[in-house]
Amino acid sequence: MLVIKDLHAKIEDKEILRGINLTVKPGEIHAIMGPNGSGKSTLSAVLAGNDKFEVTEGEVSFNGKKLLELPPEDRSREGLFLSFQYPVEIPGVSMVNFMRTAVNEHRKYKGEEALSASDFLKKMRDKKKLVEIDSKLTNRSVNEGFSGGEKKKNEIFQMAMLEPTLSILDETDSGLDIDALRIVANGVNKLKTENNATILITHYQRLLDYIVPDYVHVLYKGRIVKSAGKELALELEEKGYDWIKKEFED
Amino acid sequence: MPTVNTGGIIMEHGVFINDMAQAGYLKVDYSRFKDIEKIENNSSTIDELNLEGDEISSLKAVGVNLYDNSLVGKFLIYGTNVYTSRPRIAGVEIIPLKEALLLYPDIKAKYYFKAVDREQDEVTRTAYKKEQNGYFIRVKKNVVVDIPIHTALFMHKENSVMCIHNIVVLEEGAQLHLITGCTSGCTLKEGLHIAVSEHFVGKGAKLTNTMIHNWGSDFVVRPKTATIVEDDGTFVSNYYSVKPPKNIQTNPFTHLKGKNASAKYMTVLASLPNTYSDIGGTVLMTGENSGAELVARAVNHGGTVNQTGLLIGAAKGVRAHVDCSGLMLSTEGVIEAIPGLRAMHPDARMSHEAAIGKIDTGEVNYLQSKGLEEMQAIALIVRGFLDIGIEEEGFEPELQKAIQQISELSGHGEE
Repeated sequence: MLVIKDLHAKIEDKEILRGINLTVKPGEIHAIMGPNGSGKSTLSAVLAGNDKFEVTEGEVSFNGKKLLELPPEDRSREGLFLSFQYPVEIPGVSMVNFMRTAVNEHRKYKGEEALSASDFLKKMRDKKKLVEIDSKLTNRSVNEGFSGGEKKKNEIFQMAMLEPTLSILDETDSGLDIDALRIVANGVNKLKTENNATILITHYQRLLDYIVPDYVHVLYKGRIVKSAGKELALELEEKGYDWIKKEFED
Repeated sequence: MPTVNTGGIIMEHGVFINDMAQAGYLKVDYSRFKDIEKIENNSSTIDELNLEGDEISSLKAVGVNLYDNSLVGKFLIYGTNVYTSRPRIAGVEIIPLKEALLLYPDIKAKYYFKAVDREQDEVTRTAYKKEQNGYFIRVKKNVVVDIPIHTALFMHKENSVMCIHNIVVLEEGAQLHLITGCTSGCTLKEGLHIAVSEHFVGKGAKLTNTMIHNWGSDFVVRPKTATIVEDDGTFVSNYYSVKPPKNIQTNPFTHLKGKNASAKYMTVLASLPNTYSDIGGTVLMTGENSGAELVARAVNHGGTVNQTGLLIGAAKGVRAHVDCSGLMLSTEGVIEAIPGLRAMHPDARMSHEAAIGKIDTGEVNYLQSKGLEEMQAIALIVRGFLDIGIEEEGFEPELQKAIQQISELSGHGEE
């Protein structure tokens, strides 16, 4: 589904990603962990097409297409979803208008007809229920005045609406209390199928108690320096990142 | 000294738009236009009206549907002719002003140039001198009109001058939503539109006045509006400029004279290259506990915009807020936002805010990453910026489309 080969990226003159290699197959959950500044969020932003970052080397294949050649909207329409670490507030833009435009653009891309107003509203209702999001939130402007937890729930709601094949959850657990974390994780688990995949970017093991990964990778200084099963997350929780830093210090 | 091109005017940096006004830029050159045409006093009914298809569409684009029989009343000035319909409910009058002055001798004493000072400026002096026609609408005591009245001022001759005088009276406890569309159709280029409008909102009455403008590219427009609001009365002014003229200057004035009177102005404006839009609003509060709110939004594609709001608090317990915001969507053009407060009583509670900026690229990236094209994302963000809570339900679909186009212009980056 996703094959990243030797991916390098920089912002201004600072190189952040320095040769990422990663393969994700349908049905898999990958966790990417690492200390602050290791490049986790840059990786997600580059994959989603944020033009602040410049890719200097490497290639990414997504469902057989050259991902880096696609504009951000087509990456999304191809089935890539980024749950933002800091979801943006957009005053005046209603969630309903935003979602209706996004869902119908995805459908148009696939050659499907736009959803009727009633079918769209039914889909909204069903997905709200599935991810346990309050109707009050989806009746408001995009993320405007939402708490940190509400913003993250809203990202998962959008994920449910857009039905991606690959979801990248960038620190979705940050700023969540234990109840919100459970709701968000339940939402992700309910949306999981054998045909889609998830990349979890996180600092902490606690999210992985709720969403169990098949693989855990450690990103350090722009490279994946270690990959293993879930036990690696437990080891990181226990020992911190110092041993990684010592082992892989330039 | 560097210069900036502001809609055809070369202005040095550091020179305020208001200085341009003082320099005479706002003076109307009457010699450019034909003589003011006399608007007939013989009104015909709307049923006798035979409009072309594109004229009907132009009117709908400014919110007016003269063929909607569910409306309580309709009124049209088409060039020099007046068309009216008989109001569908008792207690509502819609007649040409000249006819009203003949029918009711007290109108002259009570309302005629009683809100607007006839000596205020050249426009008001002209309207007074020429005894101009327009509409007279009166809603009797405690009559609530919950379906809008549509009025339209349609200019259809190239280089013509339309000069109008309108009066609206809401007696105690009455309610009315008036939708007025002013347009030059879709083919006219040049003309002059001047209008005096006087509104009288009685005790506990509520007038919602929704005004939509859509003008040819070389039009000059000078509306002069004043409203007087008595105790517990409410005046709501919604103004949309879906396509600006070359030059418009207006500063509607409201006097909250009564206790607990309130006024709300909401202004949405699209500015295009080679246009000058000076859209202000002034509210004088002399009624105890009266309140006013001015909200102005401008989307600038390269013209010159002057957003001036002035709230004057001159009584105990008055509260007021003014908010002027602009989005710059072009490297050309100017927005000057001047939210003003003048407190003349120690109990006045007044605040203001102003913000001018470009579209946040973070917002665009966010929407793009969820599947929207850049242009769609920008249009959605601009639409959100312009959404200031004007109740648009019941607007003609053509008007909703015209409002939508204000934001879509930005998406396409063209006129």
